[in-house]
Amino acid sequence: MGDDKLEFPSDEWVEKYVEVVNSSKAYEDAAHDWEGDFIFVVTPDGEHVKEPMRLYIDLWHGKCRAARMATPDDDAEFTYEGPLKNWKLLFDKKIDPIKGLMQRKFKLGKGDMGKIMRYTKAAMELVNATTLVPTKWPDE
Amino acid sequence: MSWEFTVPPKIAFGEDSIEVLETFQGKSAFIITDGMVNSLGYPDRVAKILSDNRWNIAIWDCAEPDPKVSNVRDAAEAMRAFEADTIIAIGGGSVMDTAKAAWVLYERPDIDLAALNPFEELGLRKKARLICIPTTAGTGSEVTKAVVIRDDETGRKMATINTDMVPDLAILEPSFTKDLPKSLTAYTGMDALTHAVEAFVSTWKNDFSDACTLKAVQMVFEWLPKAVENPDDLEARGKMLVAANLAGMSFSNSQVALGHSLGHSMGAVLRLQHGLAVGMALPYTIEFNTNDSDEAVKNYAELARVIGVTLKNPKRAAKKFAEMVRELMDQVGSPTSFKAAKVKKKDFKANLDKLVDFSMQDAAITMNPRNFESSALRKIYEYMYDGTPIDF
Ligand SMILES: NC(=O)c1ccc[n+]([C@@H]2O[C@H](COP(=O)([O-])OP(=O)(O)OC[C@H]3O[C@@H](n4cnc5c(N)ncnc54)[C@H](O)[C@@H]3O)[C@@H](O)[C@H]2O)c1
Ligand SMILES: [Fe+2]
Repeated sequence: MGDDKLEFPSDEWVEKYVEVVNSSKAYEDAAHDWEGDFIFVVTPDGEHVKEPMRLYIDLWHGKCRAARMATPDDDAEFTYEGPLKNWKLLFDKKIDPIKGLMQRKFKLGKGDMGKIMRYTKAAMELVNATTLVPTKWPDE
Repeated sequence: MSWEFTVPPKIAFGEDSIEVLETFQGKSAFIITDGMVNSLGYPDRVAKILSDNRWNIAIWDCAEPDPKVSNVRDAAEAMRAFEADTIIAIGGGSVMDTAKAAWVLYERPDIDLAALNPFEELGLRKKARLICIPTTAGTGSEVTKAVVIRDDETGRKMATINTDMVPDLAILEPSFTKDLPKSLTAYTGMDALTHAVEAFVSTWKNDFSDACTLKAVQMVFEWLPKAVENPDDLEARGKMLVAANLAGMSFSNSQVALGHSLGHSMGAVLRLQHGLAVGMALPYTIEFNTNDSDEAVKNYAELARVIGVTLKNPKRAAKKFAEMVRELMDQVGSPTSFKAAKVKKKDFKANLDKLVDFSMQDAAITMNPRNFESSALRKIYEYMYDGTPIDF
């Protein structure tokens, strides 16, 4: 079983994630008119993550139309960042993506906050989708 | 996981609690109210106490029900011209929310109210502090981090929270609510109940808010019928103010859920009074959650026990709780269906898409214990039209 797991973050992981998001009816429903891209950042923890690891995700009308490991030049409307241990808790649903920001477990960078406040359900569904990707963590 | 429980440093309650103002430090008080409340003389009572203590006072009575951003901007402008060091809101949730949002603009003119969010520190209190004196026993806004403002263009209700917006002092003066008509007493009381119940099933619930909810639910069932029956009963009025306040402390720190997402949308689209709207939604959301969330069942069953339900089976107790909420609404005269609220079928149908759309954009849906898609919301609204209990 362990061998089927995809390392987070990696191109393989992203590819599977896109597949899961694009087959999620719940995400499509909640984000049917969302237009905007994200960079998810795993911030360095001085232990397992030495350099920031970044994922680029472009979301458009309820689908993910592009996603990849981000290059240093990649830019997006929003960034959502936190340390590896919190990403693990997020995928385990031990942290809620919105509450996590208030708990200072994650930081939301840039972007139109008025827009994001109207799509909290879509954010939740994006996190729900991660639970369907068998994930191997850099510290495993 | 770490979390915080934030409430105002002081809550004065009981008859003559208004006198606590004699001890409050400041020089220039900007009183925000609405025409109706101003005509009842409560702002003058407050002004008298302050002027006896040599304060400068301005009374601004232009707050509107379910305030829009433009209305808030006007208030902030007047506040700025007066150079207030203390803002005093005297009114219902609409007045208190106008004051909170205007306070934000007064201190932070750079902020776009549509983008107000829980994640950024606002750094308020550099210019003024906020005192809230509710004249309805419902919203609990006098203790909450929450604010609800309408977008001028779409009319959508934008509900958000920010810890900085918790007022500095709340005063629960029973006599300030005694002129509230029976209908508004009932609706606003249902808002309080909905806060308490939703906070108890929200995915953000915590032990502190649970404690507030348990007392609030018991108090609403006991005192709301009395306050509606006998408007001059100051004991009942005072108890309802405390119940609404406890419910406010509860949901402010654990959030509301689906009932408020539906209700905000009903308020925005059909212009139904807030308490009437969320109250109407409450029993349906209890049934909906009970049908597919063990966690919700357990929590509703616990609330049912507080009001004397002895059924052992949790699901039956949860359903019984929904029934008892409906009975309370019938007793106090809060409509349990769109039809009973005199919403015309053709208006309802013409607005159904918008009702669903706005609900889906309301942040509280993410805290609901049962997940769903927009099609479920449409169906819930349809059941709510005739008053059919939810069976899915
Ligand atoms: N910020 C929060 O925590 C919070 C919580 C719940 C609701 N809200 C918001 O609050 C608003 C609703 O507030 P509300 O239910 O208190 O109603 P309201 O403030 O809109 O007042 C309703 C009506 O009652 C009148 N009124 C108020 N007090 C009176 C009194 N003592 N005697 C006679 N008439 C009186 C007002 O003039 C108004 O016409 C909604 O916009 C809702 O979204 C905010
Ligand atoms: Fe409310």
